[in-house]
Amino acid sequence: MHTQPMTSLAHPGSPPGMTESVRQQTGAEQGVRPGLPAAGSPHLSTIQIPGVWRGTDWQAGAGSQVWPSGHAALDAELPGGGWPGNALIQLQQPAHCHAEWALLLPALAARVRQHAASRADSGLGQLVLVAPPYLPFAPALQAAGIDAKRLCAVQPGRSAQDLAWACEQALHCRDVLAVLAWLPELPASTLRRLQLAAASQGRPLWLWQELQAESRSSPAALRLRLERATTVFAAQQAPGLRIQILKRRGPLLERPIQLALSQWAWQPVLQAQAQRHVRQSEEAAMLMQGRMTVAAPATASPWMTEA
Amino acid sequence: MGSAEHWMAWPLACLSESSPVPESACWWALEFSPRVALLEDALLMETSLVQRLWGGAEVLLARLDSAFAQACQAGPPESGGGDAALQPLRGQGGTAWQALARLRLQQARPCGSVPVSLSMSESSLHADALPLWTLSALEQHSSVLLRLGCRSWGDVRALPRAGLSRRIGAKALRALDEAYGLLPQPLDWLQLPQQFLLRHDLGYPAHHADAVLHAAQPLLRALQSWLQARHHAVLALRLRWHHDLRRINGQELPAWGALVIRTAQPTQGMAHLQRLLREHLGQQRWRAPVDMLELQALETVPWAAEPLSCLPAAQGQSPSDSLAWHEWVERLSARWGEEAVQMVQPRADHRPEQMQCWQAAAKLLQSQKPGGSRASARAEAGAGFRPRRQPGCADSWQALWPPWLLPQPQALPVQNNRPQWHGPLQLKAGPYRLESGWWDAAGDAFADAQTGAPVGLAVRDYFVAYNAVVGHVWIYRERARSEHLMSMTASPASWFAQGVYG
Repeated sequence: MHTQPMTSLAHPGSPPGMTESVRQQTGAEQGVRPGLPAAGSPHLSTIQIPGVWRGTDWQAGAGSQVWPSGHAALDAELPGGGWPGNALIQLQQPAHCHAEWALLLPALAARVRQHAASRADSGLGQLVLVAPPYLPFAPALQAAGIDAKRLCAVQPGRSAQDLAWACEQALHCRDVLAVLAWLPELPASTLRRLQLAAASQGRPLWLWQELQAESRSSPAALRLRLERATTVFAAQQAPGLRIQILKRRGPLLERPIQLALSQWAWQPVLQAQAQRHVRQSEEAAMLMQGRMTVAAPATASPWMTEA
Repeated sequence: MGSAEHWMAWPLACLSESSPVPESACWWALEFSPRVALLEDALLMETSLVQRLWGGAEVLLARLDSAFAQACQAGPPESGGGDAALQPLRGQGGTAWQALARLRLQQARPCGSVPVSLSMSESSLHADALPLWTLSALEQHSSVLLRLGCRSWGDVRALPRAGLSRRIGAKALRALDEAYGLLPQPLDWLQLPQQFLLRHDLGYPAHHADAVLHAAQPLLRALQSWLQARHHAVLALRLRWHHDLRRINGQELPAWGALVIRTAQPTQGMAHLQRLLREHLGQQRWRAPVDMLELQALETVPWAAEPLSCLPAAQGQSPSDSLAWHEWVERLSARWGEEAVQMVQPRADHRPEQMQCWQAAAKLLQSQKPGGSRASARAEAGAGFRPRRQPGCADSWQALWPPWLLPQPQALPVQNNRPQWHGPLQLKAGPYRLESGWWDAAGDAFADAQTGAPVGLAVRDYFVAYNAVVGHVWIYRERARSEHLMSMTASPASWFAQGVYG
């Protein structure tokens, strides 16, 4: 690990679960596409070394260590088809962008449901939030499928090193399902500790940070940069995210991913209200002028005008 | 019957010397057998009843040897520990007196030259060969018996009983009968106190937290053996310390300082408690040296050991190196204070800021019933499988809840009749009217007369607003009530931000 920190293909520190999933991946590869990549050299596809996998396999198979993100466009680009369940994931977002729940809620809710259904004697399945920027609103998260009893917040106001220690301890806790942390820039040694703890204990750690120079190296398995963007979804302007993958265990991705966050429950409310405003303005115009005019939805209400 | 009994004897001096807390020196033995007694200068244990429980005589012997060595080495290291490692210092026999006699014989000899027959044998043949001085009842009359030509127990037994009884008294013969198992031997069994309260006089001043923690180790070990012997587990304990120096810089110091440590799950292991103790002691200000410690178990519950799984651990994780949930919470709470780790409790209210209550997680965990927490957690898991409210439900008010809530509603500046938050906000959805909390406002109506806005009463219109910088946010406008109409229209801060959608 220390001798080759930037090598993302062969990881000596990967746990047994990882190698199992790798074996499943290669097995699935052989089953689905027999001989396609190994047409020239059939013996290459049969080589199975724990902890080593071929670069073309980065997208294949979803082991138990992968958490599907719930966003199809994102899943298509993430190695294994989802968030890695045993790694440090670094996400950068601008100062006033808080896309955490929008991005993670589907994956977390699915995992919590799965955990609640499958567990017989294992732990409680807690979600630990280390130094969150605001208070998580438990009723809203409960409506989205995350039980309020699973939430636990470590208050900010400590140094970054102390909070990183709390993250590491939480990763070592057997009743913890996942850790979300909002920490300022950490030294590479601390990041490596966190990545090692996440990999050895089989729990994901999402580390949310401000935008920073991307030239700095990091031992994280996945690094993303988020930006807010409006996307056109079903002929409506919808809030969305532009995601740039800075690092993944796979080939470099040049173009950013456009993600429409259409899963918000208030999206239909918003649309219904916009349509109601259009209808009202039309009716008002008919009454006022006695004839049909096409009123722009933006002028329906003084509050709806664009600044 | 006497012949079926199996007695073990250990020297008491070795134990009480090494243990700084003499009362608890023999408690370790009670973990193995309830029949433990102190006889003259030795610790006696009867093991015939518990041999099967511990897996046979050999296994029990090995465990007892290691436990004795541990108890001996508990205190400051001394030469006795090394001897015990070479040759376990113990006596065995069919009766308490025989075990004691063999122990004395072994102690009298130089180390390592003990004949095998002595340490192995239990038959009365070898009991006959035991010298006179090993039985204290005979040793008092050794001059008389030596003149009669007696060297061993067997020689004494061979003499005519009536004559011997006249010479040395019936009491000595009775002891000999007990030693051969012919008469039952009354013994005072060692019993544990009902309450654990131990004092440890250090004998040296402890100036800082590490020294106090080190001095508390024997007390913690004593607590552990007390718990194991009583099959209890501790939930709360109190450590008190006594200051040697009562006055410092002209200020009176209280003689005793105390620290209470609680844990959510009952435990017999001292590792977690010791870590909590270290964190708490490290935060104390030590203004005077400590010369006495007192440990008390405040709350104990019957111990039910964790059932072990027959299956191998999943994912190759061993539970030893991973923390339990309550251990993590308590470790962080001990280091940073209880408010540093918080968990949420839902409340039945309509005001968003009152819908949830973030509380110290350590208190929440401890307020749960410690024994039934596992069962209740299981029941919760069953109930939590199906979320109470389905996502994307028809209730538009509930659909508008944001995932982030500001700790306090943040007043927004207004320009051109528009609320501003890093730029003008555009209202996307709303208004959703909320009138609630009059029960909180009724009590302090007088206090709020001059400030203008009641604390609890919420009369608001909620909107979803948007601008390019902050994204979608959840804001509300305080609606002017009739009695506050003038003040509300005058004050510009009638717009507040309360949530962030991201």
